[in-house]
Amino acid sequence: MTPEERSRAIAMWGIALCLFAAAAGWMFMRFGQAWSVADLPESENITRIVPAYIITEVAMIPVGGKLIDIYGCKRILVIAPIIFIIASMLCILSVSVEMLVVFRLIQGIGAGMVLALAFTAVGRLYAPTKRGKCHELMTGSFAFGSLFGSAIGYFLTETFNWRCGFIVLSIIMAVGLILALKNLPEDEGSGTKVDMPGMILVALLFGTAATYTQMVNADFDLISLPSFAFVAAIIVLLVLLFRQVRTSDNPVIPIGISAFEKKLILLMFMFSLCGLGLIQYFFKLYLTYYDFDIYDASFMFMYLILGAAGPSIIGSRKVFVTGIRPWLLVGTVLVTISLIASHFLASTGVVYFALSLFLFGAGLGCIVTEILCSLQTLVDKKDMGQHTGNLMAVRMIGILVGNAIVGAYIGEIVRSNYVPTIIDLNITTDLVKQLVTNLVKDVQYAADALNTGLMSTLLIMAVITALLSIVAYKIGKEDLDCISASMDQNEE
Amino acid sequence: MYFGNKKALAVAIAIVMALASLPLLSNNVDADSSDRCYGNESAVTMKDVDSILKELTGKTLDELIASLTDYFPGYEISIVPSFESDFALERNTTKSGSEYTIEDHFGSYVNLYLSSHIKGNLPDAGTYYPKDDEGIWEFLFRLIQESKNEHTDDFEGFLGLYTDLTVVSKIDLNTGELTSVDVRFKLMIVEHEEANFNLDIVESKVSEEEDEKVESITFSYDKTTSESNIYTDIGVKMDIEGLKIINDSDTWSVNPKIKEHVYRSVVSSDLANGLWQSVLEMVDPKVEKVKARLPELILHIISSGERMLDLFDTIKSLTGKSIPDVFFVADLAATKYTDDYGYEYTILDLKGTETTLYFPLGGYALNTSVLIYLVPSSILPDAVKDILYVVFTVLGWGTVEIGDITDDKVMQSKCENVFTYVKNIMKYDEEYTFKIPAEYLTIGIAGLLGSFAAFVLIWRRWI
Repeated sequence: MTPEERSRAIAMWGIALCLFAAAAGWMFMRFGQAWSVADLPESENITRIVPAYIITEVAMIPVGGKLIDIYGCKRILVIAPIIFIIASMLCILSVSVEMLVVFRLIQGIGAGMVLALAFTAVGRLYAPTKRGKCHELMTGSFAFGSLFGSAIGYFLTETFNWRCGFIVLSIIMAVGLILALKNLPEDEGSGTKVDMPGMILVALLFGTAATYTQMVNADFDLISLPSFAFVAAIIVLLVLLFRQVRTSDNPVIPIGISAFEKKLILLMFMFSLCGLGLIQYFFKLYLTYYDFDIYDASFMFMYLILGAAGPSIIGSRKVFVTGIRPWLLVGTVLVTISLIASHFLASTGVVYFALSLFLFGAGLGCIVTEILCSLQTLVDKKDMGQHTGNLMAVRMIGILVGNAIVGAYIGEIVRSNYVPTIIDLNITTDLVKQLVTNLVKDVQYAADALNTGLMSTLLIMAVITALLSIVAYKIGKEDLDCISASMDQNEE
Repeated sequence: MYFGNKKALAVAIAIVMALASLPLLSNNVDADSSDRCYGNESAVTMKDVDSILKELTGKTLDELIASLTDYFPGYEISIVPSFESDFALERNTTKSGSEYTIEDHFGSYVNLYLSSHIKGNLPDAGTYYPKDDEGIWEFLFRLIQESKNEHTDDFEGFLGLYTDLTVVSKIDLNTGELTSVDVRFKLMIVEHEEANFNLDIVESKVSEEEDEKVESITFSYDKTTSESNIYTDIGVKMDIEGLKIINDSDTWSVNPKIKEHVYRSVVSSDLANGLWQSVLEMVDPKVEKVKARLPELILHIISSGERMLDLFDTIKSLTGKSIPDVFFVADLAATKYTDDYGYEYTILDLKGTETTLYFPLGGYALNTSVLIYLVPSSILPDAVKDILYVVFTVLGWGTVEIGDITDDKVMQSKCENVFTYVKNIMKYDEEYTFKIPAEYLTIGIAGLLGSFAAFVLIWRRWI
């Protein structure tokens, strides 16, 4: 390894640390949030603390990607983590839930740009055939941050104070920033003019879509007037954005992309929806059905990461030789099998639950990093951020939509099957016993409803994934053509 | 022109004043002459405690302390207790249109300080084991008798118990039905101890039938300070259908449907383990599976410090599901009743049980001796009831009249003082937790300034 390569590798580790903090920031207040901020005055807005971060994070991914194309990686590397750290410090100083929500919005801006930076930097700084390892590092960092964010936040809140989580995240982000900044090679952007209306529209579009996914089950039903209003707003923003990018000299989202890239984006969206969107419910299922322990539940997801590791490590290196198609086909088959296996086995025992997760991870391991690697082979360095940012934003929206759909479905099962407890005072001799039994019964019901809902969802998702294998089968070899063309160019 | 302006100004002022007085007039219209205030207040002092002890044991507190030296000759024993408490009950009734609102407020505080000093031969620090079948007192007494070395035991303790209960009941006068009851209950227990002597008694239970047996007693003479607290704030709203409590006839039947919704369930404690466990022990064994799972986490959170936790919100945030409302049904026989003081009640007898509820419609007389014996023996043992009966009688609480104090500003003020005292104590506890801990405040401000400085430096150097 040359000093330059070593330096670049350290920079990647630095960015991966920043990504870990950004991913953990998403999840680290998710579980037990009512308790987490219990030393702040009571507020109805307590449920906004987690969505606030997600909304701006998703909104800023495509914007961050485009800004990297214009200004280069290094400037965004300075700005994004600093925004995150400043917002984290402001979160620590919050004296009300509302203040915390506002600062979490700002924190999400930094996190979104870090997310775009992490995956774009790999594409901009490495040749296609050498991106695999780095993408694996980034995907692993994102997975660890997301899956263990809740346990980390829970531990810090439990041991010290909820504010401590923000300090730890800031320290990780700062260490990552310093490592990356000292070692990241110079990376000049195109310096073209910023399409400000386009930037605002794309942020609004993804932000609104993310807001919708966060509010749809919590604040209103899927079939309701506010829900339709949101969908209408998303359509209007989409139309306005397409009008803007067509007239812009420097469009914020890629236009005129090939059918191959469109299929990749569609597959990324659908796999995120069917696969990654379910993970949160696996987590909740484990919590309510097996062991009410956040640490155990987090540890259980090691099986998912272990399952994903092998295919992902091999896939991200071999995808440049084989093309994306075989990986997608194997991935779809594995995900379909794992979803069916989960349906029949996940609730029968912890071992089978772990096995389902392992298979599930293996399927996803063949898909996520490989799509990213494949898409980046099609793109020029100068447009890397734009394409990567959009793909990652679509991926995040896919996850959130998956969460929302599963949540709505399970919510419907809970509502339609719940039989309210009626206690007849005339025949009740021990009221306290009745009430506590009822409380326990309700928790059991919540676990059963979650189980029933998730298990049926798994079958539906399995069918969709099986259908996606047709799209995967029909996908061409454009990525391989691009690699061989670039190799020919190098030889010439 | 000048005159004209003044005239216009005068008219404008008159109109503004007239408009401004409209709300006052309408308020007066709304105010009903039937709006009443009922209440009573009672303080308990050390003198009352002395009277209770005299009644129960035949000796005053000082005499009891003095008798200790008879049991332990040669020991220097000094026990100085201090006690203050006050209780207030107030009921405000208002009528607005056809809605009759009854707001009951109960506030109480008990502050107990205890300072003790014992000097004499006490067991040396260490763990001691009882002989076969030796009871705890027998064992302890033997250890003290056998001890050869002189030790000093100094103790300073404080126990505060604060209660704040508000019940708002609404009655529809058109139908005579009780439509809703909103209960807000706050309880705070604060304990502080400083001692240079500690006794750790380990007990075990061989079987359910047998009493606990002492396994060992450990004496230590290290200086210790401990602080504990429990704070709970429970809000329960009950929407009621079909509970007619005002009727023309003397007796009638009602079949109410009550929907109970817990809207606040805040707990802050570091003593709650035993409490939760004792609640769970009452639960049917078949729910063991869930019982073992859910409380573990909740308990872990509750017992972890001084922060407040909303139990129901936490369950919701962990499972994504809120705890549903509970519905109650009952078959009640309602009877009109007027007591010796002339207060009107609706007595509700729950059919098939011995439960009787007295629902006073205005002022009322609390016959505590009757109320105590209405509590089932499974909740309050008969022996405890007898002691309480004596205590209440000595305190003059056999019958507490919550009389009309609408025009008695002195009594209203006394009640208000108790409520304010309790509110301030609890407010202090609630507000205390809202502060940013000093170390986080420092880190936050330093981090913020550091981040800005770092940004400027990095930008100038690298970009």
